[in-house]
Amino acid sequence: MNLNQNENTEFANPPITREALPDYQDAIFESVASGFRRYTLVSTLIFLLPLILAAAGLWAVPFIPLAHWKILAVAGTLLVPLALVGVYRWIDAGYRGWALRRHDIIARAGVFWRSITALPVARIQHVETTHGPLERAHGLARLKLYTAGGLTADLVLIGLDRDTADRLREHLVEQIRRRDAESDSTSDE
Amino acid sequence: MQSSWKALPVSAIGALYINGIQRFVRENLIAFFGAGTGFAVSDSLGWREFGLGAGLVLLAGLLIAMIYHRRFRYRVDEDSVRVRKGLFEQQELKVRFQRVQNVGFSQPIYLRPLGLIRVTLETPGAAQTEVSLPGIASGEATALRDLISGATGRRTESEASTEACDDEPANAEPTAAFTASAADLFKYGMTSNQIWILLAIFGAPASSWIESRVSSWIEQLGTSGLLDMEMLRGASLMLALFVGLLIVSVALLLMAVSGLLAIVRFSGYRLVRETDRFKSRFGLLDVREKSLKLSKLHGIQTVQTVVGRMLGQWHAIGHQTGAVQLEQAMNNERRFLIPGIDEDRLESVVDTLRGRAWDVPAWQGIHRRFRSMLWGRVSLALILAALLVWLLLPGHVAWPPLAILGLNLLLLGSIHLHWRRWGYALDGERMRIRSGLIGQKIVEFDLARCQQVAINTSPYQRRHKLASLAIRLPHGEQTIPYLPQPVAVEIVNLLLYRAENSPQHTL
Repeated sequence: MNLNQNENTEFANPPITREALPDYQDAIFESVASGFRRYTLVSTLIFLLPLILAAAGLWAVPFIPLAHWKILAVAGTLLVPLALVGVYRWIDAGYRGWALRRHDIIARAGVFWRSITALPVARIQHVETTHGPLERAHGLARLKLYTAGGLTADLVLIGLDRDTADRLREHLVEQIRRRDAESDSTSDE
Repeated sequence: MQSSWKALPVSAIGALYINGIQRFVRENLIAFFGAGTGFAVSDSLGWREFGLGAGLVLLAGLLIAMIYHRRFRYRVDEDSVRVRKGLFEQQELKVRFQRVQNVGFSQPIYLRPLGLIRVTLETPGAAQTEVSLPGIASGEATALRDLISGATGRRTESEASTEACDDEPANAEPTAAFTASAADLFKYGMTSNQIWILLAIFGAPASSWIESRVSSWIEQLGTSGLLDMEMLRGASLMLALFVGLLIVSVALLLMAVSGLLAIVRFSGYRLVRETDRFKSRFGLLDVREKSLKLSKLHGIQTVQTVVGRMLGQWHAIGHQTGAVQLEQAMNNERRFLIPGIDEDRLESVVDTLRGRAWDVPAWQGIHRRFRSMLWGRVSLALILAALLVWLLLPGHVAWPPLAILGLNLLLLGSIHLHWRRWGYALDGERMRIRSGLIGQKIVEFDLARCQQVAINTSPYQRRHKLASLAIRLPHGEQTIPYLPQPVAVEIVNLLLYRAENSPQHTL
């Protein structure tokens, strides 16, 4: 709303000092849902399980002519990186977060290589929430935000709880709807 | 305007046919290569089968073109164009004039005698929703364009200027803001990166052909007794020279081919500025006319390639909204390209595009840790490699590790150049970013057009209070590495402020 009042007084263009600019660092970040850590653990285990079973099977079946250390080596080279990815995701879940301001939505992620991404609400074209079966079991959902021109989602917030994701979606959809209605009425003049 | 469903003229079937075959060949190029090798390898399949297959494809193509033509209907209403098409399932598209950002004309050589023009209505958004009329009479095409530019002009311009716009085709050609001569275009072709694409396409087959010819030639010489093999082996320096000469001449040949292609493609290039848009017209075999609305222009990119720097050549690209897709990156149809700008005229062309004079900005460089970090890592890797080579090679030969160290020095130099080239300039509303190594690329965009900003930090950057920026613009992503963190934060805040306060909500 505020945005469009500015639009009508477009020619008033007061200079903005650097200090007066709203700082994105002041945004209050919400961490991801509490179930997200468990979700990363479970999904990593589900990935690992077939490998572990296969290794155990090879170990147990007597007539397979493979030395035990070979099975261990092969399983280890596959399992260790996957387990590390799991650990990474576990730690990442602690840092991951999002913040909603009036005019943009900000997401942060990463453990070693950290990124903070800000997407102005005015640029969002379309919003959707999705949840896979495993996410559903943990009461989680992800929010996908699309901007003009792109074919893939421009910003995906993972690890939100279902309720938050739905409310965020409704809020953003409402903002987009209001914005479009206003820009339509101004362009028809 | 007439508001009934109309079919394309019957003569457009030919155009549809040729167009369809072209597309079929282009999309299935790999399959064709496969089939070609299949034919070459197998004995049972000969030219007859090949001809039969090709004939079938051509016949099917004709049938498809006829059905497509039969089912294609378009309708021009007061404020929109509607198109119905589809071979098996019917598809109906409707484009409101207000949404059209660009009316593209294209007249390939086979349409010229028929007096037909292919019209493409470009809209922001995905490429597959674009509406194109594959061949309508040229009078109708210009009428449609004027109707659309009138409709969109009314929204942005006053009535008077709209009328001026309508009268325009009847008037004599307005003075061009930029024209490119054949020499300019030839130079553009030589400098453009197209040469690498040519190299990739023709390089491998050509090199294998040359190799086989050279080896058979050497064998011939050997058996004919004019030259004994011993002598040839001794002349390894000569051979190296010969190979070097061959590479240089192939490169020159490719550059010449690329230059000629550019002439064919952009022949007679004219850039005209009208009240609310730029228009360019060019082409020898396929005459195209593109337009770019000023209100849709959100980024200007000027590029000087390495070869371009030697020849004093630039080219400019006007960026407009559109999906960034692989397909587009490859055929560049949507880019508004101004080729073959020499150094003297660069300023005037850029001024025209910007609508105001190009002031040389005070470029802000990036942090010097960008250079020292890269220097450190590259040197470490290469010195280790040199040591390993020295240790592992039998006899501890000196020259391979020395060559690696020489390469290292070369890389250090180019890292320095690359670091020095990085620069940005902010003037409150617009941002300019310069990058490159020997050549350079300068992108200028409105801060308000930014779609997304990301601040990325590695552990090294966090230790030294640095950050990299990734700015998503409607035409793609633009990065600035290694800024001091407070500066990066300030730029992000400014970008967000401008984007969120801009009257254009979406693009």
